[in-house]
Amino acid sequence: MKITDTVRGVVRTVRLEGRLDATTSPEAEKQLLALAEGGSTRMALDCSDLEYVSSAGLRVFLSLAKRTKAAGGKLALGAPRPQVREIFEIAGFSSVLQILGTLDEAVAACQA
Amino acid sequence: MGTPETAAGHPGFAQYDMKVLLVDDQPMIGEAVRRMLEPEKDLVFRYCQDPAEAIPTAEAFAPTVILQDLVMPEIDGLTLVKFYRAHPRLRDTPLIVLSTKEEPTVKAEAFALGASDYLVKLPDRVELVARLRHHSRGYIGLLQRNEAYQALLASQRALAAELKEAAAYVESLLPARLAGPVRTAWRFVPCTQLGGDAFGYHWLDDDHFCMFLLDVCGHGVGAALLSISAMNVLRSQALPNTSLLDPGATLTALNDTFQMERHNNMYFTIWYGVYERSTRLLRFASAGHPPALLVAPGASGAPAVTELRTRGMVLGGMPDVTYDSASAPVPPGARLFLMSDGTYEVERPEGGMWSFGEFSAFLAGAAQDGGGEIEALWAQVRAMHGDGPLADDFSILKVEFEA
Repeated sequence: MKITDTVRGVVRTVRLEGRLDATTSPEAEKQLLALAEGGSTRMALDCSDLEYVSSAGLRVFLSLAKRTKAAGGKLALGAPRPQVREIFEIAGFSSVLQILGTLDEAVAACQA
Repeated sequence: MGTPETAAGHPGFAQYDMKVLLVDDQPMIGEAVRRMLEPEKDLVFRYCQDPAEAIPTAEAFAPTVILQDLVMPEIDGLTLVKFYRAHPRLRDTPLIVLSTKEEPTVKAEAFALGASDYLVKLPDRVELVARLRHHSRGYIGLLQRNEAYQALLASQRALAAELKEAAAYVESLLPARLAGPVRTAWRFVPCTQLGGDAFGYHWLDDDHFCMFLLDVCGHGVGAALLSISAMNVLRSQALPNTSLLDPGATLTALNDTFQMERHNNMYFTIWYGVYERSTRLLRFASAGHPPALLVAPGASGAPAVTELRTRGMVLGGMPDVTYDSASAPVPPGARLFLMSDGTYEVERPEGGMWSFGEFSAFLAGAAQDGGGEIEALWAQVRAMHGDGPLADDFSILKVEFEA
């Protein structure tokens, strides 16, 4: 699971590549929370190369969403693949974070 | 030699002394070696002059290295080498044969028979001590490794026995298959010995039958403990001030009870429903869980499949969430399937997974073929995945309501 990030204005965009499962989640969670704690309260996640999210992976997004909410920030997911979108859908995550079709829309949602 | 305790107070492994056994018919050699080893206070020395006593002495003394004279009256040293190597307790003991001269053919034969080293009598003290220590250390290392290995096996067996008992307890909690006004069938295959899935059903009263299937994130012992906890709360109807007839209220109360911060950061998904016999109405609510599938005979022969779920997020994820109920009529001859995502999120060897849609179509197809859906599903999953444990727990429950 590879995580890279850049900045677009006031929004930090984070690109997730690979699988988010029980093996990769602990490290991914550490990296993402470090970014959040480092002052990135507006985060747009590029999910175009995120292949799969297990229940352990969902937990990472949940922690991030709670952290962002507590800090009064914004979190949005952009361009998830159909299978990943379905996983988020079934898990009912649309009530805790915004899921948009493209990364640009996700960035825009964070700027609002 | 008992098992000493380490500084931390835990039992450690046995400590072994370096013990040298010399078998040589010449007392002069015996005395020479004794004097050479005398300054080495951590080496214990035993001399055996009679080769006929060599094996019994070695058995009793348990040396960490044997010095064996090759040329002796009555018993040939090489023959003794063969005996040592055939003896179950002396088979691995380092064996240094002692000869009066360098003889390549004899050397070759000694090594072929199992000798560990070959010395011309007698090397100087430093060389002898170095070789004895080297071989003893090697042998002690072997003994300690064997001991550690036995301890590991014993602890693995103990753990396996405990897990087996825990798995048996979980099995005992699963409901008996029912026949009658409501008929059930199910299959539960945890991917490790203990799984994070749980399910149950029971009559709440004469008119209401409740069913649920839950899936704790992850699997293994921790997840199993939470799944059993939640299952027992539902089985024993232990939610305060909550009517189990109301699925939405039930999930709302469960969510408050099982907030993940209080349960080692674990959440779970659940589908919960209540079937009302008198009206054939199914009320249900789900939290982050795959939809239940209601498969009813269709007008044109092909079965009609309805996905039943409500928009709720995973249980324990966020506090103060209200879950809503929904309802659906149950046509005569309909069957309801509850499952966990381990039934369709199966990795194919060539890559890729089933989508929920493909899974749903498969189940409907199997229903059309006249039942046996669960067996067909299991066979299909096995065919897709191959042998070996699945990546996630596989749980599926089928409920048929009398026509």
